[in-house]
Amino acid sequence: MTHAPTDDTAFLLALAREGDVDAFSQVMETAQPRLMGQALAMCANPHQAQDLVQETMIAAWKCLSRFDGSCRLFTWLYVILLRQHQRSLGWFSRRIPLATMEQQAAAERQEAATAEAPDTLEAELLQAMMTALPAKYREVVRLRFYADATEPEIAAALGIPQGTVKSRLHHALEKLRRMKDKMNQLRASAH
Amino acid sequence: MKTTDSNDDGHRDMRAALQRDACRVKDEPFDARLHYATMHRIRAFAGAGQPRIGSWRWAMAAACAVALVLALLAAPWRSQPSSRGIVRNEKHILPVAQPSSAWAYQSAANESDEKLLAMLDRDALLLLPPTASTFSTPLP
Repeated sequence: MTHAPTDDTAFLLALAREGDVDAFSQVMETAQPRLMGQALAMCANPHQAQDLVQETMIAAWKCLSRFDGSCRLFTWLYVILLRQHQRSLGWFSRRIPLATMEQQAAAERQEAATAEAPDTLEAELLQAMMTALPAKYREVVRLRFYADATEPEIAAALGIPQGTVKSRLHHALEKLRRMKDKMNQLRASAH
Repeated sequence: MKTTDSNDDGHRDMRAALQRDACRVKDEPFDARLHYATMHRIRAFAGAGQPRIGSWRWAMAAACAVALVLALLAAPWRSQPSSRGIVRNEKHILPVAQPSSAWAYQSAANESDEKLLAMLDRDALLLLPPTASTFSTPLP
């Protein structure tokens, strides 16, 4: 399955692959707003998000020859963004112990006491749970739901079989569901 | 955002929550400052990319130079015999006195019989084992 970019983008990408920095700049101008939005959703503050987008663009330039059009350009860029984010988190990105989850839940309980909006709470809860997910699961969830990529596209972007994407997605959702149950138990015990 | 594949009923709530969360993520306005700062860095890479082969050559030349310096430093050290070697060599060379030459015998014979016999004794001690019958049996 190919996700051929539009003619203009394809032409600019071809030029960029040959070393045309201006063509790459034009391609990235269209991708930056969405990348920045996703980066802000992942990072703690805007400065980190800017750094993340910058590193993503530089990494994309360096390995542009590897983009073969088997997925959308944004999906490919999003994988780079995720990997860069994971690198910036260091070993914390691999797993957050449940104790930390409990601390986060306690913090959320305090925030809830200050009558915060329910959708903000849900977003923060999801953010905490996503951080607690192993990186390989977090990656597919982010790509599927936040980059709106299809399973074949995720498989192409990550270079793994489609069955693996399916199974990772299933396990990720199962883990998230269990974490949510656990958090709800913690909340219930607090009240 | 739509999700149609891999729908598990058990995960419907979680999928819905993720979709709601994804909808909350909005595109940001284009940040020109960030873009041009990044492109400036990329241009620096691209500029450095052209003489990349040259830089490899420089790296190889530097590595060769370092290897040469190390080899030069190591050469005298390797050519010097170790202190043990010196002792061993001394053991081999110093105790072994060379037997007298024909010219020495001739000179000794010209000087006196005692000198000639002394030289013969010394060489006999050097060349024959101490248990040799020559030292115990008197000459006829």
